[in-house]
Amino acid sequence: MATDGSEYARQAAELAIELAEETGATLHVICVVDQRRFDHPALSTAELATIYAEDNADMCVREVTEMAERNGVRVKDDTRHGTPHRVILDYADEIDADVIVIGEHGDHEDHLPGVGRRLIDESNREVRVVEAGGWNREQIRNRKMIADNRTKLRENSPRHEC
Amino acid sequence: MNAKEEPKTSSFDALLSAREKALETAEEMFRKATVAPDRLEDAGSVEVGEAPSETVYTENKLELIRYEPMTEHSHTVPILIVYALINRPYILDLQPDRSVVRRLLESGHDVYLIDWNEPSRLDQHLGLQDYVCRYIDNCVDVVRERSGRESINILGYCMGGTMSAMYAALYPEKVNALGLMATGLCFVDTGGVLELWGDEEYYDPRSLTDAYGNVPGEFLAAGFDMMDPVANMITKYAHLYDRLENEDFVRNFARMERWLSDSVDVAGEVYAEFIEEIYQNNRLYRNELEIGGERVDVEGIEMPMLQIIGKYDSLIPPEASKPFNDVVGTDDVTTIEYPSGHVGLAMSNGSHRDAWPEVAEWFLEQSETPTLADVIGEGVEKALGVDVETDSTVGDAHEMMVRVGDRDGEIAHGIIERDAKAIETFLEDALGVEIGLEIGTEGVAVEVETDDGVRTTVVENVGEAIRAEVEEAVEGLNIAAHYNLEDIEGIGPTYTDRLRSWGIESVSELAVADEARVAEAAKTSQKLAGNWIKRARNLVRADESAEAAPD
Repeated sequence: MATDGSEYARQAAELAIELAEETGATLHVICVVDQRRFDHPALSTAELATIYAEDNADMCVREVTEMAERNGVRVKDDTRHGTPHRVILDYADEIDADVIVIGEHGDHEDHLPGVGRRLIDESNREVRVVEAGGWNREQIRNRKMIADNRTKLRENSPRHEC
Repeated sequence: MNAKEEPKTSSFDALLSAREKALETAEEMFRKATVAPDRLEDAGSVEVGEAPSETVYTENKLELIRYEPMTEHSHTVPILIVYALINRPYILDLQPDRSVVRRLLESGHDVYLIDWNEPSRLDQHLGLQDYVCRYIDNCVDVVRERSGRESINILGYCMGGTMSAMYAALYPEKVNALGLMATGLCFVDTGGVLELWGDEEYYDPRSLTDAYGNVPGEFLAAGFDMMDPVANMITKYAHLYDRLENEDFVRNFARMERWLSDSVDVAGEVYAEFIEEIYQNNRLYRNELEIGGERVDVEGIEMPMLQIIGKYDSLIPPEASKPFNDVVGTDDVTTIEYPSGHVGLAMSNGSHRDAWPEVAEWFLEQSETPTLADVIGEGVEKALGVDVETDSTVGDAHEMMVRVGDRDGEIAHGIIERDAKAIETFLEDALGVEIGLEIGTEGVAVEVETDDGVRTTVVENVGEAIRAEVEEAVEGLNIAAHYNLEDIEGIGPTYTDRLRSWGIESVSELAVADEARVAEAAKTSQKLAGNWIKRARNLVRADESAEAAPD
């Protein structure tokens, strides 16, 4: 299960914990610090944002770990830095995951969007993208509409505007 | 605008959403501009390096600092932190909850630090020989003398770590355990920026030191900035702007900026030697380094060694540290790799929760000879499958904290005398068993009697001091067995009955009992109870130090 501490991730965590309870499997929780946003300068105050992102990642995994432990699920956690979907794929390979669970949306303050979609595209494991049930239908519909329109706009635009 | 309105055309909708976004951004900027003056005020008033300390030794510019202990008493082997040559040491004590120094103090360590301060023109010829064989050695001697230890623990940071490794190789008899934090030791295509910096093809350090004498701190600071110009000129301000409302972030930004701009000059010779010998020619790792005509044989590093590494440190990447584990003389090597960068290792919340307590524990394990309580505890642990932990940093010098627990949690804890009988009694009460001790040729035999029978475990590798303690205790018990409670002046049949009803049945038990408990049991004053205990101790000679202690 990959988390970014967002409400979507919390719902994904609930599903992941349920799955682990059913199957008796160990739940592995990971949070990735998006290195494209938070890199590692040699000696610079720019590192401070990375330190905060690290601390945040740590908090995110602990939140899920605690949820899992309350439910009696065996759980391991880790935080890593890199490009989220790649790190998640590598991590899934390392632990030979049965299923990858992730929220439909994420907190795009902390990483770039599209992680779930890339996981589905690039992984040959089962990927469960948990829908954002916590949002009201209206909001989701509006967001989807805007996204669809963007896509259409892009498709309809003349080449040179791309 | 009304977000629910059905858009007429797709482009119109896109336009609206773009405008909405622009409005949000404008509103956001306005809000941030309002809080900015407050935050800048915060940034101007940050404090750093607040752990109380005193200077205990000075030589030329350097100051040897000792931090005020934070526990009732400290572990016996002190830790000397050898700071780097870049900037000021308060990076290791930036603020209370992000302070490496404090983590060590909280764990009961006695902590010293070498602050090199800024060299003057007169110091430009100071080289590795002066720093390692003179300054570090003199500081180590001072700490050894103050603590009465033959050898002490060293924790080197960054370039201070590199010098500490050289020191430990040259003077292994004075180093009990060596910790290296974010330390560059190997420079063969390790990819760190320091290696790039030290590439002889385009950098000759002597041209710099010939011109300036020492290397100006501003030059080093500018050099670090230029290694990552985008991060240093743009990204950091973008991050600051993004988090202007986060007071904690802004204050830490200010602390870190202060540290990075608080640059000190580096003595010319030592700088050139670092670049040429360590970075360009990799002589330490190759085991070819000589300082002052003496070879620094890394095989001489025979003491336990710990490396604390930032997994994403781009200044000193793990590859610049880890391979050193394989060339040192010791096999007792531990590596703690934390997912952070160079400064994050000293500063991130997670490292302070996970990595630093582990470091403190590691130093403790290398420093403490086991106590009698540990020996008895180990026997009980093996016999009953419980956990017995001891902590000698709590209570007075003749006391310690003992905790007993099992898988379900803690069973009991208490601060008790460091005395065989007291420890036995405590564990017997906590676990509902009888414990006996015997000295064997292999070690100390711990007998644990439960309802199911007697289980005896032998604890091996017990030092002489503990054997003597156990012998004395066993002897004391034998003597005590000849006495009754009534043999103690002032205790008659009534008091004997009252004490027995509280489980104090023998002279030896009275000798290690708590004054208040005895007073309560016998329904008498604490003063009188105290006198009985003293007399009981005289009889069993269980605790000579307590006898000498004033009332």
